[in-house]
Amino acid sequence: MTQNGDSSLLARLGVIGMEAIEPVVLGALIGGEPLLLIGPHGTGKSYLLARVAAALGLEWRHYNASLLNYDDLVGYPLPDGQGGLRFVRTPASIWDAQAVFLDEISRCRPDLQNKLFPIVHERRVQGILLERLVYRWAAMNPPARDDEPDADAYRGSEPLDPALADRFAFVAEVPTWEGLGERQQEQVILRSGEDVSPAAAAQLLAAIESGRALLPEVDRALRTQLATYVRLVTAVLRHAGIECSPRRAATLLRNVVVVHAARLVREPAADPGDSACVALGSSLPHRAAGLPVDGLKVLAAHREAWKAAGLAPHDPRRFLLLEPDPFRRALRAVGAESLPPVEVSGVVADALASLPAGARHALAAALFESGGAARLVAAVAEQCAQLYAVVAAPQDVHESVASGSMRLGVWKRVVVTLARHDPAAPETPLVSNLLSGLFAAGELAVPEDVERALGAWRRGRETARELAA
Amino acid sequence: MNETPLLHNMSAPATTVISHRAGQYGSRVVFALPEAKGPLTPAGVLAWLDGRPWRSRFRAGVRKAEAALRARLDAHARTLALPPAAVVSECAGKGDREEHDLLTVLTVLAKSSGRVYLRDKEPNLAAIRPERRVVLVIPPEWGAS
Repeated sequence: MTQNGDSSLLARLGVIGMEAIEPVVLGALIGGEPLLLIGPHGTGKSYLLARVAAALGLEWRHYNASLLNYDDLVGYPLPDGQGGLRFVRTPASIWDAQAVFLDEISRCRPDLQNKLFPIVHERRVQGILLERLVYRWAAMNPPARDDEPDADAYRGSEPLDPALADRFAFVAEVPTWEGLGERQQEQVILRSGEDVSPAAAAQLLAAIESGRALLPEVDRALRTQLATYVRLVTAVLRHAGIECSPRRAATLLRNVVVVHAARLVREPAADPGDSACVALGSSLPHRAAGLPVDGLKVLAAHREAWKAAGLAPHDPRRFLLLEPDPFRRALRAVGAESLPPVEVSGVVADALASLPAGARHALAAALFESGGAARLVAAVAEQCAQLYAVVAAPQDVHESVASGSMRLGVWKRVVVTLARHDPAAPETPLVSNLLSGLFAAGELAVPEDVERALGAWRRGRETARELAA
Repeated sequence: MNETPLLHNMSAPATTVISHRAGQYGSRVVFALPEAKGPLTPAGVLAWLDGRPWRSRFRAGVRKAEAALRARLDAHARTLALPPAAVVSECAGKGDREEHDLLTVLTVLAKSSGRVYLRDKEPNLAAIRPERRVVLVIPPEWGAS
């Protein structure tokens, strides 16, 4: 999936160690998509973009957003003699730029951030279309987080407004110095400041043109599958606490297309699933907004969504994938007649492993009361039977405990809790058995565990009744 | 000789004895074989069921008898008014119903492990033993068979 240093377009430009994000950078160039690089100082963010701009011979503007005034962007306003204004263009103004690089964007004043917004999003300034502007790039240090006080954090680097962060199609984290191999570190030291070779520049330009030529074909071939993939992956990410806006979903689809085109240029047999994974990893604006993103969750979401996107539209695995609650997922799996017992059992076993005491007993009870346990393979059915036996079979507790001990305190809580139940209510023997059984098994460590287990049991029973209705 | 009475050990912590028996849920049905009239081999069980010696229409053999008995048990399992899966209880109580139909008892024994009865499970003929007893917990939703 990754390219070695010798075949890397960026390495040929003298930008070492960026192989991991090269498809993203090339994809952003192919699609003309806004690109935000995040990384510690000195990791080559500005260097990378300056080399690319030089290689492509772009007329570009490099603004330090922390020092920027709006007049620097637009020039000086003068009356045009017709009741309006015209802007006196300066060599630094944005009007004729083909690429704009907003460095240190996270250190920019909020009022100026608002003015940069339409440049990134619409290629407009003061409502006027910047006709020559193609590439919009920005860079920032990782924003400081209130919940992670760290002496090394960039205190001046504020999280971006989420709406501004969402306007960057790609938000890529650049590799750190520690992430480079020894050879790469030496190459960085040796090749720093080299001129961009005409051959490397021509190769980059050719790659961009080839990628653009591939775009319609890639889009046509993958569009339908990618729409499903994006819908699924955003749903799974939402369950994992990583919310994506509808705009982000549309952006992600485009990102996968351009990244796949970029990879095909370098690797004709590139797998679209790997391209989707690479694109997804650099398409989440959360890091720029100071929100943590768990890379493992993103990877797991990608794998599940990509697998499910290849399934038939009515395949039950799709709705199982989208069900975040393990209790519901297990009952839905049991109810999905087309799923083989091994898969049903896998879902149920996962649920039993993840549910707390009380909830897993409620799941086992639901499976035996509905007959759904018959759809399980013997090993998982036995596991459920063991749990259901706790609530359905009379539980004896006979134990000598130290007076004043925590264990006696727990038992007293069990007794008080059971005393509140109507002895004639059908559920009472189940609750009594559950709490007695959990106590005997040592699963109630503190008095509060009694309420926790009972609450989990009740919620499980309600869910089972709701799904059975 | 006078014996010194034992003194209470004041250093031992005071203890409380907890004793509690929770309730029965649903009903229980007991499945146990009556005294066998012959060996509990597959052919012997088939003979017991049919009341006459079992003979294959083809060349008689243990495998044929096993297959015939398994087929009989599978077919019967599908007719039983039991849930398709039920928990096996370790103990029986006074009010538990006892099942007397031989084929039903054989079917439940062959399709039950120590913890669970599964209607669609491949019958385990080795589980048909004279001393074995299976007590199924039947949830109220299913009633007693």
